[in-house]
Amino acid sequence: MEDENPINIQPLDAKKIAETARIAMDDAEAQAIEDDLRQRLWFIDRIFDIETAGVPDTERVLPQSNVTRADEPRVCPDRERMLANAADRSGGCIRVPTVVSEEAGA
Amino acid sequence: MSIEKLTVAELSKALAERKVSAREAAEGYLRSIERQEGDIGAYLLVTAEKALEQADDIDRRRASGEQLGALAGVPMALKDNICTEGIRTTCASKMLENFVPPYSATVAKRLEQAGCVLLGKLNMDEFAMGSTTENSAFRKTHNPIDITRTPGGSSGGSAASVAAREAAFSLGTDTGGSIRQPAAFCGVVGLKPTYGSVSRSGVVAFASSLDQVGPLTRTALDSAMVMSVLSAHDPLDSTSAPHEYPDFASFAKAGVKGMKIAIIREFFDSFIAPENQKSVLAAADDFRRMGAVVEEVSAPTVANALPTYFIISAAEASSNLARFDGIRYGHRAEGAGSIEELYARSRGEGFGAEVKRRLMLGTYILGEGCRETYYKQALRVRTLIIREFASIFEKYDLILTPTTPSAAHKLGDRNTDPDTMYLSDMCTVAANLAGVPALDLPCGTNSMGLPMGMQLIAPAFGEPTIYRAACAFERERGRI
Repeated sequence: MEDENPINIQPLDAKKIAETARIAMDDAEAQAIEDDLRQRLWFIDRIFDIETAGVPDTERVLPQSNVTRADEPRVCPDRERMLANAADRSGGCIRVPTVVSEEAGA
Repeated sequence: MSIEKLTVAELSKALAERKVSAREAAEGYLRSIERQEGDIGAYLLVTAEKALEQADDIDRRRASGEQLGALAGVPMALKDNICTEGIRTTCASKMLENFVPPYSATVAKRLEQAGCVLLGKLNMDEFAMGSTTENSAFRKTHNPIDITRTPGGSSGGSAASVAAREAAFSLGTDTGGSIRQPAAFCGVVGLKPTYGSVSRSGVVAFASSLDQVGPLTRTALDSAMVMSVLSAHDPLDSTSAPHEYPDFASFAKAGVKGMKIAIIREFFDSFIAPENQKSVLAAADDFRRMGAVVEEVSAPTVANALPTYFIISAAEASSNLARFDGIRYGHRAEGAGSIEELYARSRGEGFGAEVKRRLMLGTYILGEGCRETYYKQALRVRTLIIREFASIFEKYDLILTPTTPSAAHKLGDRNTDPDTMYLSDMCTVAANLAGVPALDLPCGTNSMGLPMGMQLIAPAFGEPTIYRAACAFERERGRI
């Protein structure tokens, strides 16, 4: 029965998950979160007691199709105001650190 | 006359009859805030100057003979995840500590157009993740009934402000109970509307298929009045439902004669405090006395919806909160050498502990292997929950449950035990998963004098039925 435990499908490695989630943390924080996640998954695992064979998925409760607006020109939000919350700017652009490293570009 | 003691309906009448000016109402509430905020801490920002400007504008328009809506001049406040143009909106997070939105949420605009006066922005659990408001990065909010206790969460500031008479009404958001649970803890009325009936445009997303904005008020009639302004199709929200919304207040006096109400047996087990169980069963007797039929039903999947909620909400949150990367807005880490380092350090510094835990849970659940097990299973159980509700609503107009397993606990009591904290949402999450409306209504106080709430759940767009029952109950109990 042990093999059927869905937790075993992907090892729980908080450092790796933090990397995927793009959240920097030190080893102590990662360990604390890993312990917490184990507890949460222990609680969540009771969901597998519910029989769902043949039951369709529900992702959202309203019947939806793509919602599009009319293809007409509209006034865009003011550029200055949209940029006002950026931490670092240069002219009408947002400044960021190097995107492509030398190694990646080589 | 002590203006802040009036309900929205009473204040609306006094304003229309010019017995009270909008300025007097705003000043009354601002005084109440000044007097009590040291003890309560409901607000993250008080917008006194803007409130008085708005109030003076309403008074001028009324004096010139303009016909104004029922909420014109009524002072209210918004949870701090609802964007307000030019007014800081932080989600109680260091990530958005200095964020000033370039536009307002549709709900904020609708209230402004209706003439409501904005008193300020309210405290909450960071990004609406939590049940005590202790996850705010900025301050603790205290329950006005007993300031040693939590007001609940995540809309804790919204509930506390209304209970303390620091706002005539407020708006909160509800992803798994975040309006109804604090409403129950603070002894006020809180509605989680039908999914799609209130616009989410401009409201900072937590879990998009579950989030809804709703009112917190002192009476059910007040709630109906606010919902009449909030409910509308919004082209800016692709999940907004096209629907003909009625004047909800018109159902206030319709009564419950002939109504069929179901009680879910599984919500009356050992985990629910005996006093909370008794108060809901006493309410059921009141409904019977008023002419409704109340019967017991079984709904095991609805009653065990928490794991489904945890999976879906964490998965959606991990996707939604990816937008906070330190680039266009929000906290940016200093001195990062690469873009990857900037993302990771900005998020590591900007998010609090509970937000990180939920984002990482969501990331894990959506990862290779887990998506097909955890996430898919949750989507299928969600279908079963919807079917279980549908089967009950074939025979019954409403469902009656407790709102919370117990009354408000002491501040600090449960933050160390996440599972116990989560269980406080056990009665509320299923309504979000099914998209149906659910209202918390005070139904008594326990032996410690703390409020207890009951929950009325209706099929989608069944708010009129909820208001019929809630208003009838308030009349029966002499609350109004």
